[in-house]
Amino acid sequence: MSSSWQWVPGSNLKWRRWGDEYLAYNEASGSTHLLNADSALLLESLAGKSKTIDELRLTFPDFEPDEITMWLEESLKSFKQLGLVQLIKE
Amino acid sequence: MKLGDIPANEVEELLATTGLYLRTGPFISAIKTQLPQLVDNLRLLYANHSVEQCTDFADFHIRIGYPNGLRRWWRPQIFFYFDDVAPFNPFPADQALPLFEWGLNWSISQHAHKYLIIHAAVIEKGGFAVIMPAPPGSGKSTLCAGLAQNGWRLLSDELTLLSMDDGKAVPITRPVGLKNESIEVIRHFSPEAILSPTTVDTHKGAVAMMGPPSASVQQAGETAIPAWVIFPKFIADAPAVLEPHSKAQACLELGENAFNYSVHGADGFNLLTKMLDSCDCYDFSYSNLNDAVSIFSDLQPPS
Repeated sequence: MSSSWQWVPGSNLKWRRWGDEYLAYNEASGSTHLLNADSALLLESLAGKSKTIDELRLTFPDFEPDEITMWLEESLKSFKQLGLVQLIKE
Repeated sequence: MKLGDIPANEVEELLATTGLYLRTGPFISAIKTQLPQLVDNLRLLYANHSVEQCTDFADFHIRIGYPNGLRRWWRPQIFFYFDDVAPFNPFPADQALPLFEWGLNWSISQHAHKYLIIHAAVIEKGGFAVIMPAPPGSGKSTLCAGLAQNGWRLLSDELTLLSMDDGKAVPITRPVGLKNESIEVIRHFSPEAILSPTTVDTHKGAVAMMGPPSASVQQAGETAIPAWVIFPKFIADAPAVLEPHSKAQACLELGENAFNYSVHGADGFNLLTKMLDSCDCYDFSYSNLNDAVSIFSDLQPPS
């Protein structure tokens, strides 16, 4: 069974960027989140679609696979706790 | 007509009967009280504020008075009534002035949703506003009071109102609340400042109110363009220093300090981020008001 990640249904993120700092406002929850460039890229890459870890790894081609996998898993876990993303088992 | 132009006995009668319709910035408060100490303090601190002749409308209907029953006489307590409902626990009767000021702050922050309301001081010079969010005890009000007496126009020491229409800061121009040591600091720094008697033993300690400068009250109809967001912090013996503060972090902190950020949703986020595009953001540490005045006098609006 494969798993993929997607935005929580109903989420609509508004973005604002200053330098390397990104703000994401989640209209569904009313929460505002401060993200660095990599985290913002990860979150934005899930807009309107679901992706597996393998597919998300391709978004960061400059990193070692093991390194990026660990970071992806931790980041997605954090996003899940913040109510931004959910895991779908297919 | 200004409150200071109305004879004392007429002010007393208005407060005791139909209400004193007092304008503070965009708001009209219909105020009723028969507490002599509060009557005197209102006449002292709001002498330059307009009293509305037309009493058909008020934004807030406020009454400060005794409850029925034993506590009217024994260790007397008073309530703040909003539309004849008491939203808070009672205060000791000698704390009528702080109860009135904090109650009016509550009235605005809970109801004035035409604005994004941030717990922050705001002052203005040359049409540009400095917004100063800060937690209690950071020296925000002391700094605000000192600057308001030295070339800056006071818009508010407690509630920054941002118009949802154009993002400009809207003045309320009411007394500045000073606590504990800051009362004597301002008394010595600005001997010309009008200070109320000190109320002791409040939950914030000793409290006194500084009347807003008359020039600030006269300009209470003029909005200001936010140009700086400055996070002040009093640190004993520290030099006055401005250090850059992240805009993204400032946006988070402004949202957290906004009473009605959740009410406005995405519109609130858009207003704050658009405002911050045009603002410089700083942390400001200081220990001496003269140094602070000097630093602030050198601020240049972002190009």
